[in-house]
Amino acid sequence: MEQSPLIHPDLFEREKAVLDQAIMAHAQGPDTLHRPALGELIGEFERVIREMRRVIGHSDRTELELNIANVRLRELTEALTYQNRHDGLTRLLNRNTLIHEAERLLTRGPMAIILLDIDHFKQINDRYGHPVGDKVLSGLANEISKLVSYPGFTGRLGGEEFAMVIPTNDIRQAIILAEEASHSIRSLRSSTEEGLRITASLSVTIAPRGFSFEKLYLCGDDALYRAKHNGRDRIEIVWTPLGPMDENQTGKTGEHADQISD
Amino acid sequence: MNQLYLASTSNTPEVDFDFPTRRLMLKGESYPESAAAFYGDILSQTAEFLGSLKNEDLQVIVQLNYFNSSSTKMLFSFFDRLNQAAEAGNRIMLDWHHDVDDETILEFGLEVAEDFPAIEFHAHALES
Repeated sequence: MEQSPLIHPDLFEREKAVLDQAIMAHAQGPDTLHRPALGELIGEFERVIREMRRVIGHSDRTELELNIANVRLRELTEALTYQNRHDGLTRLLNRNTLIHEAERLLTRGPMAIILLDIDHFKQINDRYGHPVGDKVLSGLANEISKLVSYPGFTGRLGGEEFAMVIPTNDIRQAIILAEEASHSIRSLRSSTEEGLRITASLSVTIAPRGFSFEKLYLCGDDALYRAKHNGRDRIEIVWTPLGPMDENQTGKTGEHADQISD
Repeated sequence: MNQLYLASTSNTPEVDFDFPTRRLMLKGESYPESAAAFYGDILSQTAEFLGSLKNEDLQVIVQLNYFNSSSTKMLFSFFDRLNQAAEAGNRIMLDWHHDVDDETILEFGLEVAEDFPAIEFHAHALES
């Protein structure tokens, strides 16, 4: 669409003005050697302006598309980063991220970890179906994530196993948190399955700064196993303080662990 | 002459041309529907203002993080007018702000400095 430069603003206003002057001079003569040269210059100049318009128009469109693509790419990258760190169903941190973040937290200070496993989850799935099982998982995730705030965090370790991590050297704080979690899980109800009752087994373990996360996790897992073994719907606490000095014996801490019935 | 102020939009920059205090600023992104229409009036007011300057100092701040090709064409006209004002005896200082990681914008600024040598050019890297 050609625009009249008299009415519409034009990218080549200056160039057009100079060109018009040249065209007028060329039209008036007289016939000298300069005249064919000027005529040729006018033609070439017109061609350059025309081509520049095309190039600029094309560039503008390409840049706009690139800009849009860039925005989408940034959004996608953000979404992928989120998906890479979170569990798709519960939106809690996934296993790898939770372990990574916990390892990092433990290098900076003391830390408590609460491991949590839903009791008889397989039966829930078998009896009520997987959609109900999924709702239990996301409902539970929602409850426990409300109990922990930054810099603490919650994650799904896999299946029906979850973890809550808080930076603290006070095991009582972690026990209170575990009790709150246990309580809110027990009060979870399904809107469609009235008979469905949900409980979980939990373990509470604490370790000082610099302790190996792997060993802390093993210790917590050990205690979680005992909570299951001793009747489920209970919290098993590892009272024996774990210390960098004790690392050699952490495999045995289970033997010293006390239990409380919930 | 009074101040010329246009708030930024999603595709046009903030234009803060404070003619009385001799300070002109362009800031934001520039890819208007029609660059010729957007910059046409700005350029004519600027030309009028520059024509009135005699041996004065003028600070021009450009902090554009994105501009399309037709905006570039109009910006050339802007710098050309500034350059003419500098050649006429005024001191024109161009503060060219670019993101520290944005080589493209910095290089464009350096080319402006090369093409319009009467303008005093200063590049400033902005931490993102």
